[in-house]
Amino acid sequence: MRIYQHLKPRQISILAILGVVSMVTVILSLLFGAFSIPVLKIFSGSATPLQIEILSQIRGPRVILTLFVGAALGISGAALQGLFRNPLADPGLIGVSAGAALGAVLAIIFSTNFLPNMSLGVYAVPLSATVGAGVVIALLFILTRGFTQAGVTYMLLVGIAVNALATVGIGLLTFISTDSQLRGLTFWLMGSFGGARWSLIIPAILVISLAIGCMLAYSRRLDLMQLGENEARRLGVNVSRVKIIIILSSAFMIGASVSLSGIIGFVGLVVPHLVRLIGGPNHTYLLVGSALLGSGIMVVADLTSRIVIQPAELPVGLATSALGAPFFLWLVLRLKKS
Amino acid sequence: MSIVTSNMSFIRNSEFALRNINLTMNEGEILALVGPNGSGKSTLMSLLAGDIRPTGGRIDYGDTPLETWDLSERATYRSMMSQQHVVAYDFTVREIIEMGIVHAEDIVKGRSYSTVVHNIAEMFELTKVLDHSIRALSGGGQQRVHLARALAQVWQEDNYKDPKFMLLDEPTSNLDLAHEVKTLSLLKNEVRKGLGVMLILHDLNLTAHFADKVVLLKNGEIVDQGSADEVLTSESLTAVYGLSINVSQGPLRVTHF
Repeated sequence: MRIYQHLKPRQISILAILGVVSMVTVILSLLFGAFSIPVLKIFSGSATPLQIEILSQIRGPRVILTLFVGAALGISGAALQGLFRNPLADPGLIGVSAGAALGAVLAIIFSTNFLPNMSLGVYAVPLSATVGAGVVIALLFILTRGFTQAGVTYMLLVGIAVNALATVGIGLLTFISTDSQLRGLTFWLMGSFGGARWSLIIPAILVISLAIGCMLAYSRRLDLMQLGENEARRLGVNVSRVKIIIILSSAFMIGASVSLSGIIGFVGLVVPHLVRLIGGPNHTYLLVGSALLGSGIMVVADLTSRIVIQPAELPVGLATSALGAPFFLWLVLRLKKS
Repeated sequence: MSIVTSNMSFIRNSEFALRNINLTMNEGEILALVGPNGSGKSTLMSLLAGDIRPTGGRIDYGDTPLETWDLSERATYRSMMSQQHVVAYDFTVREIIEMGIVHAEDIVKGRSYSTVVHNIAEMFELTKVLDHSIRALSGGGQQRVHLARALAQVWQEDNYKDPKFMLLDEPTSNLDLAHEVKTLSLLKNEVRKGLGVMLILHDLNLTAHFADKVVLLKNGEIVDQGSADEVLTSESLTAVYGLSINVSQGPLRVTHF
């Protein structure tokens, strides 16, 4: 079986444009911020050591992380909407983001309260978040008997229950936290790329790249799934395997993203819709397009959050939700009409 | 080559949904499954397609048990179309038909995908709507697209050198009279080239006209099988449907009022 669908010329042009746009946003994002770095100075070699330091050690890893997190949110939203055959599916829906958030919040509260000497330093929060995401994945795996049991509705309901439980956990921890912890926790929950360091982001980038590769290899099979699970099986698709690959890839990349950037809402939901709207629903196009547009939007959102109230920063999750929520509402109204 | 069941049964909710089914589906033949609602026709077809496993007995594709065929091999041997289809997003008619082409190397042989899609679209009068969203078509239009996809899965241009089968569960239920007859004639034409087709049909007169072989089912058991003349008799139809049914010969006509 072919693993991809031939793209229409229109789709190829859209992907090319999205690619160029996200590259441009990356360059802009590297140059602008609270600390300005003139382009000419970099190319003429007359940049100061401080400017080079900021570019390579602070802004560089931050922009790269933003790019990958945006791609992860976009592509996993697209793949899950395909797998569940439901345009309202989202990486947050299966509970993995909430699990990662709970893990991170645990680390924020307890690493200062009870474990001051055992502190893992900057690694405590991402590690704990990854464990949180892992626990949710394992829980989903067990409750749905390896993602194969029953239908999509069942899996979504399990996800909703897991989400609710994690929210309770976060609520309890918020309740017992001190004022300074509460501040850190609140900002983390609103999402930010501020903590990016090369040593932290490289493992996440590897996980996200691998997961994107796995998803792309299943793009045509996701197309066939749109005919229904039975029909896909008759066309030779191993439906259980598609479920396992898509859910695991999505869970790992969302776990890796949330562990470093906090919760960033609506990108995974909204981006695939836009991409589908302009070029069509086939997944070879949709997955690549959603990764590119997700990156572009994320980089722009991060840049905006850095420059609107300089030298302070707006949490990037606020920016994406502020834009995403009205779009989501429009989407729901549009669905109701049709 | 053929699709054969031997003493096959299927138990659902601790009751026999199908019992002791022995039938053979041959290449170059239209086999019609006939019987009242709930007699087990669709279940039988799902079993033959390999969607579900029989509780007892066996199913063979050719000389080999169905379980030993992996999913992608099955996909090149038979296609199946069920009654209900809901496509989740706005795929075009062309994309849906292309989804049926599961094995590029075999069917293409110097012909591009688009030629195959074009030929099949022409047969089902879908050429004009190839780039429309399938969800914009009428119920009958959508049904013809899914039929075209099921045919694309097994279609061979000249003669069917490799054995190929289609299992169609009420393929014409949404079609108007003209399209129904056209579609069945088109399938008949493929059958002459060597394709094997199994149909579930409720119209007994169309069955009499198009089927080479009729299998009459009631309560999960085969009441009778053979040519239309042999099976579609006034006595057996009256017994199976519980309605007084007249059958007149030459050409075969089934009437019930």
